[in-house]
Amino acid sequence: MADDESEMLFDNSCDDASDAEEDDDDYSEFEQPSLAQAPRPFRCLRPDDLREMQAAAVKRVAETLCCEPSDATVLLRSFKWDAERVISSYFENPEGVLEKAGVCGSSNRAVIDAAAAQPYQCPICLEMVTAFSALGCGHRACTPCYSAYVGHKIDDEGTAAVRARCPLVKCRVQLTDALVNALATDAQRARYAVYLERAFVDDHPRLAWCPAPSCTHAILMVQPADGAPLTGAARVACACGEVFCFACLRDDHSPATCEQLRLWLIKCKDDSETYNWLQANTRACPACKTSVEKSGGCNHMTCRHASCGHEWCWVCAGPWKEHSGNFYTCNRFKETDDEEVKRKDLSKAALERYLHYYSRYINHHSSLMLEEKTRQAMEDKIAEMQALGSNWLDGQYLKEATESLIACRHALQYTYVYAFYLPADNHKELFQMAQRDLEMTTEDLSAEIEKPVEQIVRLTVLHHQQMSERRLANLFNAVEAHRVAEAQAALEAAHVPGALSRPQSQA
Amino acid sequence: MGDSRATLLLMKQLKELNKSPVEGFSAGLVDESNPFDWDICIMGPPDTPYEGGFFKALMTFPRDYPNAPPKLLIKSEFWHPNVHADGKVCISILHPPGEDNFGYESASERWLPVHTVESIMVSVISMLSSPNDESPANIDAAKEWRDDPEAFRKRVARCVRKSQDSL
Repeated sequence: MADDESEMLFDNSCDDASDAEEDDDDYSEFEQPSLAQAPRPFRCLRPDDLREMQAAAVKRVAETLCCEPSDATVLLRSFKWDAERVISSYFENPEGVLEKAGVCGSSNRAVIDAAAAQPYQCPICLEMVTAFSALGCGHRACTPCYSAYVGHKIDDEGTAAVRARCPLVKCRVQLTDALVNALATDAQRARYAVYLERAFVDDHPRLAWCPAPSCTHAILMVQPADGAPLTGAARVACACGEVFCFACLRDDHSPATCEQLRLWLIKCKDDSETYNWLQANTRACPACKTSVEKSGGCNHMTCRHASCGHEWCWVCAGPWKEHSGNFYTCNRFKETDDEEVKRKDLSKAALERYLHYYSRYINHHSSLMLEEKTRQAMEDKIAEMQALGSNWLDGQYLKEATESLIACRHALQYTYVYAFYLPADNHKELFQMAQRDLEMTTEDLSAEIEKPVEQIVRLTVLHHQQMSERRLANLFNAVEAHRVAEAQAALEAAHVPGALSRPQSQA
Repeated sequence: MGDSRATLLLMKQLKELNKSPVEGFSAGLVDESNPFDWDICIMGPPDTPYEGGFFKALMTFPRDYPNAPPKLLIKSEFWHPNVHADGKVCISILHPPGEDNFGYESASERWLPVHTVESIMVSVISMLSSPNDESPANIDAAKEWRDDPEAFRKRVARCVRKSQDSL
């Protein structure tokens, strides 16, 4: 609506607190190509804001078309709350628009509980009555029957009540909120108001409810200046703290796309029930074969079994000492060359490939499951530091580092989904390098903050944290640059007029 | 209020039907003290495979009639694309509107409180002459009706004969 843009003051940018500054810098580099998609600005709306936004749209349409607000509401609903489109369509073809929406011409008004001059037969209870109510279509029913009809719609039909029609056969006129509010009981009226609000958000293409349980906020994507439609994943953060993807309402899954995540989740459900458990819960220490359960976030395992003390990587089970240099390869899966693939059973190769990505995905995923525990452990550590004489404020950097760690792990789990669906090409190589860098520093950060309090060095933590954030940003930039390049290549191949905007940005 | 309102309305319809019967069916209560269960006899409409048949059916009204639709169950052996194998009649006006999963356009063809025994039976009789094979309740019957009309007609004729025998 017209006023969205005027309230840009409230805009959030999509950046996480942890990578805010770096993202801003890096995204500006990528704004040069015309197709680059900077994070879409959005606003978090409280119930009051929603009501206000709805009222503003209704007012605009009612004033422009000189109609009743309740008719304007019905019109807006049938046009997905696009006020400008309602108005322009109406001036093009008034009758068609009214009929399609189920609104009567403004000459006939709805009548609520009036008395007819002559007794007539109510079509519902078949009694001869004089009292009646009717919508603009003039189809009368006695007020008790009309009220019962309206009440039944609200009580038994949920949100569908919002689209209820005149009770007569073949009449397409929609019940107006004015009529409903006049005939329903107080409790029904309150419920109807909830349904109206719910339908408003559900119908509006740029609004979505926050999926967090019992959160009443909705997210509004700000209309881009060029009127481009909303496409693809968009990371949004609700005021309640929930971070999710606007397009699919699932957990924020960048850099993977909504479609990749959907396919991935289906695949995981199909293929890996058993493997899931086997892989996620225990591992044998590669040296002494003692079963090890991972109870904290770090992948640097030190076997505590008597006289073993082997240090190994939870992910690849290789010795940890290989992991700090160039030999770190546990995030990559080597695509076998053609000859070898031919010799191998193809399905076996596919499973192997999948399990490679899956085990790494589920590994970060289960580390995240311990998120709350990690946060609590950090609180405990800060308390311990206070006991050792430092003040509360000094310990806060640990909290920030923990949040960064969680953000990195969060992204890392989905990098494996993204990589799984990438063809083996240059971009995949580059991406996996960025992924490896990020994974290394993330593990460093994790190891550092998991140390006993007296061994934690603040500068080291800050260093690892900054590195992780920088690498996270690099990774996202690489994905974004690739997406832009691919979109441009597709445009050039298709020769669509949109490709013309590119030379402008170069000039 | 639901109960007495429904009772009043159903008794009124019964009286009206007794006074001026409608062609194609006859209706009465199963038990005079209960206005919610109706015995219906459907006469097969002329120029259809059902011509000459007398099919017994049971129409059961809910307590919140007329805001919710009744159920119609054909008790005689019956063969029709829109009637389940157990005799349950499946036509759009008997579907409660509810959450509409099929787009809002069809809502007006669903249940509305202005429907009476008479208007329902008119729809049922029209269903007998023109089945809706887009959403069949009895898939076998729908297939036969489309692919092998002769076999379909024979099968219906058997139902018609049976219904006459049981009179």
